[in-house]
Amino acid sequence: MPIISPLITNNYLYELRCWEYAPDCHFKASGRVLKTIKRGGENEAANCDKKPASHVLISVPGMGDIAFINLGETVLPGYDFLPGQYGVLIRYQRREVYARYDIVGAAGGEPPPEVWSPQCIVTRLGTLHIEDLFYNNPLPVEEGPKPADALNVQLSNLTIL
Amino acid sequence: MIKLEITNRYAFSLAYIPYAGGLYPEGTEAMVMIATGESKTICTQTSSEPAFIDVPAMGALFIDPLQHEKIWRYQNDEKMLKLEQGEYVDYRCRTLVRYAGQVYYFLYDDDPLTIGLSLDAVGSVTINHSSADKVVPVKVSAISARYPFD
Repeated sequence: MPIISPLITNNYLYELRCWEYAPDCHFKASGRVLKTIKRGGENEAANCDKKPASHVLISVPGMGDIAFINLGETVLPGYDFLPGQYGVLIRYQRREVYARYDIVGAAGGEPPPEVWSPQCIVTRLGTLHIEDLFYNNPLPVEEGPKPADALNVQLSNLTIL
Repeated sequence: MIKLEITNRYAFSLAYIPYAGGLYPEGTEAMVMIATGESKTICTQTSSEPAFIDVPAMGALFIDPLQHEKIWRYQNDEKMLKLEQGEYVDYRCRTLVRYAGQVYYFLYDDDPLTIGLSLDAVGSVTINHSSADKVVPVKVSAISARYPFD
């Protein structure tokens, strides 16, 4: 499964804190801090290089948390028309963006360590601005980056059977 | 300076975390607690300093002084201007108050801004009074993109 490592530019009033978003712990109680992005930081990778997390959560003081949930090859029910092998759900302040992308190249043998790095800006007002949703990996320049497809989604967060 | 007069009737204590040059807000000795049933006045050190009040299970009550900056979307909106000698002109200062997805734009000419607010038993906030000349509800995007989504 590719690694998600958003490149964050922080134009907000506070530092941003990036956490490992793991299913077996509450991130702020016992989760691992991946990185703190200082004010004015530009295109800083939110994930850790050495020991990357599967899912990344970015805490925006006063606003809430931005979750980058790595779906791997899982397809969200009802949204199977979106092309791309791998999926990610970006969630922030009750808004959700679903993106899918493909791995480029990986011809023969083990694929290279893939990193999907959407470029994002947390603006002065705390808006998450998605500047570019491209798939970035260490392949030769002529092969990539390849655009990702994305759309706004509305998921049901509370269901009664 | 921004002066907040807060009355807490919520089931939990509130925590005001002072702005420390933009460092990630964490529980520190400088944190001011507002217990249930208590009223407190909190003043920020400068007019440009935001106020961050942690409301358990609700998120943050966030006071964001924009001062002379404007929200681009509303910059030519007559509702955000005042009429002076037949011309629409800007207010001198602006501050956003944000809570649980709602945003209010406070427009005023004279510092300091005073806002009186109270939290009820279930964590809803009521703004009781303010020294601002005008208060308008606004929308600020949670997520935006350089290209349109479907």
